[in-house]
Amino acid sequence: MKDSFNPSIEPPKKTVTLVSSDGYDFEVEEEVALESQVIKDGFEDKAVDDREYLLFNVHSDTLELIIKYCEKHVSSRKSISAAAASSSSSNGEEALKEWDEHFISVDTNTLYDILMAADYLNIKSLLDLAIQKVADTIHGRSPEQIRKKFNIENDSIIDPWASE
Amino acid sequence: MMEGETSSSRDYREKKSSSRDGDNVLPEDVVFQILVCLPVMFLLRFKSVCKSWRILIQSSNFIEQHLNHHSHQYSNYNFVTWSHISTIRKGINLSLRSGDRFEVTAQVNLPCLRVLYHYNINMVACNGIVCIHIKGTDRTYSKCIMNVSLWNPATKQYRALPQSPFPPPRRNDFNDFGIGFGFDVTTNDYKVVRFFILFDSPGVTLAEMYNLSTDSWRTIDTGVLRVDYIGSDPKAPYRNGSYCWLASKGRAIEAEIGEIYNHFILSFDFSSEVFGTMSLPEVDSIKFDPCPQLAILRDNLALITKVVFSYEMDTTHFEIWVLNEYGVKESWTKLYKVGPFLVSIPIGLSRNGDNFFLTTKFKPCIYNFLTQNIMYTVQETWGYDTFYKVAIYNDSLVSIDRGKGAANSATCVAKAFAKQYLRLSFLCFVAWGLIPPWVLDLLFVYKEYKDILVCLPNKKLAQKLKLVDGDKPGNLLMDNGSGSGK
Repeated sequence: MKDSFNPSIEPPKKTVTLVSSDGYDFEVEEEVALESQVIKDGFEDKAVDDREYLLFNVHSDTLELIIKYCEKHVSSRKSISAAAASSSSSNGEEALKEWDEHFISVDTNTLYDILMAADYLNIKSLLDLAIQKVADTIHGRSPEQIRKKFNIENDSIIDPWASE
Repeated sequence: MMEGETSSSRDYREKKSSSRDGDNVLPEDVVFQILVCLPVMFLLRFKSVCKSWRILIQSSNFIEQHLNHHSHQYSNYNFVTWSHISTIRKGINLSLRSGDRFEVTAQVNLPCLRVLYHYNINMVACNGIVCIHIKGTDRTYSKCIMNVSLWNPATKQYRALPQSPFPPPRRNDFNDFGIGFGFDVTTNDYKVVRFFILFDSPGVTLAEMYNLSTDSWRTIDTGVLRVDYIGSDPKAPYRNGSYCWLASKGRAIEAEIGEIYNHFILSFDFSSEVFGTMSLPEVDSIKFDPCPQLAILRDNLALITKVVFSYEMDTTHFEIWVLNEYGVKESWTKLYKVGPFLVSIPIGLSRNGDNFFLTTKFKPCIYNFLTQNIMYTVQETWGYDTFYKVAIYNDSLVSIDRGKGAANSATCVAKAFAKQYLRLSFLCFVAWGLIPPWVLDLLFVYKEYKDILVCLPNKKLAQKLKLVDGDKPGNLLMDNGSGSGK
């Protein structure tokens, strides 16, 4: 019992390897990878020494951002619960919201990549964040602008008297 | 592990950005979730983006999700106001005003009011649909006329409901009536309820209900409740599922400092279709107020009561009470006491409970409970001959066209196709009249018929038109339109 608590030596953190579509390996902590529901679902089935995930739909640039997001959320969740346990007031959630806001302020292509990756990996909070951001960016655009933005073919042009 | 490959990253990125236009298509579930976040105004505009978006936006599943996503937005509050279209009795203009400056965001003109005299309007809002109830009399003041209509200000849909087959009691036969509108989750249907309190037989004796899905009225059982007077109602159903009215029974009892009223809450559950009652707190402010105003505050039932401050000056305080637990008398809590106000009538509360709408000296104004400031800016834009009700209203796509409250996506597609077909045939009937029927059939099977439309008249048909004379294309089209082949 005595050596079960030893702050100087941290237990070796379990890691998971994520492989991006262009072949880069990213070694991340287990709990960070488990932010993704898809990885979590398949986690138990995999052998301990074979925790490698090939993410065919996620480019390394995007994966880097996604990992950054997950790491931030895991660490701030910890600090928020620690602050709550010690009943010290903290504005951790506010700060995280601000950080999210900053994180998602990216150009359209990156936003699109993040959105697709969050959808593919099923990271609920990130998906919601990205969706809200996209919804904000298309506020007040014309249908033509929307078509251009989402690369949609206009198949309703034969309806020149379309109401609304 | 892949240290040696960093140099290829930039190449890839360039390649990616050049080729990305092709694969920039979002999966449908993501599009769904993005669109759910948007307000109705934009969704109506985005219907014309493409066919799949139009179908998505009109689907009942989307409409429901959109409603749920936006129903918890407390911040916005809205007024419904009305005024006469002109000095002669041409009709009534009903407007929805929202935002900080109460600008008109939607309006509708109610016609056919020339026959109505001595009318009053009530309205109830639920899930973005405003139910308008107009009660009046004919010229001789003997017959009672009642019109009920539904209006979705966001989609600009307006629909007059059919008249009830049960003749309304003569004007002198009932002394009061109540109306409610709400949503029944169990049958996914919108319902209007209306009841009358008859003169000779005390208690609710007549009640009828309209179902949107069947588009018809029927009588319902009222039980053995005793109600003598119907006062205010909150203009919105309680959590969409039941409706409440402030009612009283028996005569007011004379007391030293005024008359004591026997107020209670009459409720109607839209799912079980049963009337019920609830008690009010037994405090003087409620007992002595002849007409307390019911309201909805943060999805709870609330009551605004008047406490006379000075009879001579006609100044009053107002108390705001909230029922924290539906049906539990002990959970009534007094939230605020505000005033004194001069010659005032309460109108309602904003949904988030921050603002109190009232008239003082016949001027509409808004009192903010938090800042304790009173705002008179309202009237500058409203005009003097305007009447107002406050609605718990959120924009919604809910359709009042057909039953079940929401559009069925399959019928929408069929309808859209039929519409386009008619327009196409109108455009090209001259050319099409000369095409053999089987070609036409082919045209409709072929998915990209718009391409054919572009090229056909130019080549073969142009020649044909010159060759064949005196043929009546219109008739041919009619035959072809049936799709029966040769």
